[in-house]
Amino acid sequence: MTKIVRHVNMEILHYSFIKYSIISGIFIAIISGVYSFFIVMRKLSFLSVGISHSALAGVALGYLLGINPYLTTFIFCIITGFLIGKLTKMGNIEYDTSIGIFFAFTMAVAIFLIFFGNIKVNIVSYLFGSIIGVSKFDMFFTLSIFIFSLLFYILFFKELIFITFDEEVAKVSGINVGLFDSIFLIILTIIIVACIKLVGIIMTSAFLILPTSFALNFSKDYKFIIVLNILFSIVSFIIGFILSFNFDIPVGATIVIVSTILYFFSMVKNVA
Amino acid sequence: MSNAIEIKSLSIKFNKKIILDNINLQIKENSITAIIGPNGSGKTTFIRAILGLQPKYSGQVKIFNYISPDYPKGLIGYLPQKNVYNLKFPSKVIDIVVMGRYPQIGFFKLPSKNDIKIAEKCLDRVGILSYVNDYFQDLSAGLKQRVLIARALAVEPKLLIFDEPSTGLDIISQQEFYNLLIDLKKEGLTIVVVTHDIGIISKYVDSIIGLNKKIHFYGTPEDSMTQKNLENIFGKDFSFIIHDKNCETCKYGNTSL
Ligand SMILES: Nc1ncnc2c1ncn2[C@@H]1O[C@H](COP(=O)(O)OP(=O)(O)OP(=O)(O)O)[C@@H](O)[C@H]1O
Ligand SMILES: [Mg+2]
Repeated sequence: MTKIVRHVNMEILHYSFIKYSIISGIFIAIISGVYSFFIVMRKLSFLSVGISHSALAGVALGYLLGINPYLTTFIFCIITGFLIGKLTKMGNIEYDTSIGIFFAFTMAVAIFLIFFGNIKVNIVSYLFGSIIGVSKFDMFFTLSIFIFSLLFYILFFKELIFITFDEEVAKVSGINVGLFDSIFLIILTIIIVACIKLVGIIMTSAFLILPTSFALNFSKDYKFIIVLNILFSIVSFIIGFILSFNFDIPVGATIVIVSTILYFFSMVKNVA
Repeated sequence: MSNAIEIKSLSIKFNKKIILDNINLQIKENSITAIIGPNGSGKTTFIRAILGLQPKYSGQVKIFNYISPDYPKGLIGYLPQKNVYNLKFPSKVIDIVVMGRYPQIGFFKLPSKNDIKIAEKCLDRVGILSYVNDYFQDLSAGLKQRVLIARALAVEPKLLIFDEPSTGLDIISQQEFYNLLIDLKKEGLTIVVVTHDIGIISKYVDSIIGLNKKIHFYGTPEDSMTQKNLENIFGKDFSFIIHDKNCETCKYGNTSL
């Protein structure tokens, strides 16, 4: 762990990088806040865990082939997402079972690639995030992800809500649910890849699950919940970022700890 | 009168097991038709085929002369069998019912005042307008069912398809529901209802389909509800009680059998 801490300290010296980090972080916070609702409501939390963990094999593949690891990660994650869906249908098993199968398998592939490819890469920064290393290019990349996912959400808000509540009747209403699901899976994967930069492979799912879990303690109306989600994500990001800055602790972990603590506070109301 | 539904040699298999076997059938426009049959007899599969939700089938399905699944939007209002939707979905009741308006609203637009008015009118028709601003997840099972019936009405469709609509409805609501169907028929709608309420439907429907893999009978309640017909689809142990006003079962509020 000391290695990561030192890594963070070094990067902080480049001041303009921090601007990019904060802006990218806020973009990601907003978009994961929005999509958190659909992920939790459609019971895809574990899918997001499965997809994010398959990212490690994607990273290794990128290094092995000598191309941008985020690109290979993205492709690898999408394929994993589709295969999980296929296996669920064809193997006649539940989602969590096929995710469990792929979770282990993609991890094994990652280790296999790292071992045989003799890859010397700081896997730690992918596992736990490295938002301090955000470049101007990364920021614009995040911005385009942000615009695309947000636009899809704004344009198809009604339909997304309908499908999330009742797929069958949504189909009868003339909504192409299959197409929506595919686009949704792609967006989910893009967001996961973006989140990996922020909080790392292992903690990404927290970023997608906690906002809605938090907001559900305050509201029973999806319109309000999504707004709360966004606020929750932004606040946990900013608090986590500032704390990690002042105490020299890893950013990803700090954000996750802050959001988990916020979540437990939101539960107090229910316990009492 | 023309046909609302026309089905020609419809067959459906799941994993090589035949679920529906060569169904041929026509349902008249502006009528109420009940589909009955034991659990697992293929009723839900059958109506899903009518709705265009069953991707793999052989034969032809037409609704108002449109070939499945290429129906215009808003042609059909549908109430699925319970538990296919998200029971804990956080939403106000009104927003659930307004979903019924989505086919008419179309993409890129939000519900108008008129859509909300229609939704409220439909809540009123199922007798729960007072719950309009309540949260869906807080309602009892029967009230949830009524919200979803209201949503199917809000489509303002030509054809209404209900899969076991009276599940969870108390005895009064059940009768109110069937009376509502009669009102809707007067307004020109065609209604198909899958049900286990064998004891009471005869009073309300125009015809009854007995389905168990095949169509075993199809006709007016008088013609179709015979002991022999019912034994045919439900098995030898079936005994059909004609409910009179002294019926013990009815006293305890169970009229379905
Ligand atoms: N997706 C599916 N894959 C495999 N078999 C299926 C599928 N859907 C339904 N079946 C089978 O088809 C048969 C008919 O099911 P269906 O749901 O249509 O019955 P039903 O008449 O509606 O029963 P119920 O009264 O219990 O609702 C059952 O044997 C069921 O197991
Ligand atoms: Mg059924």
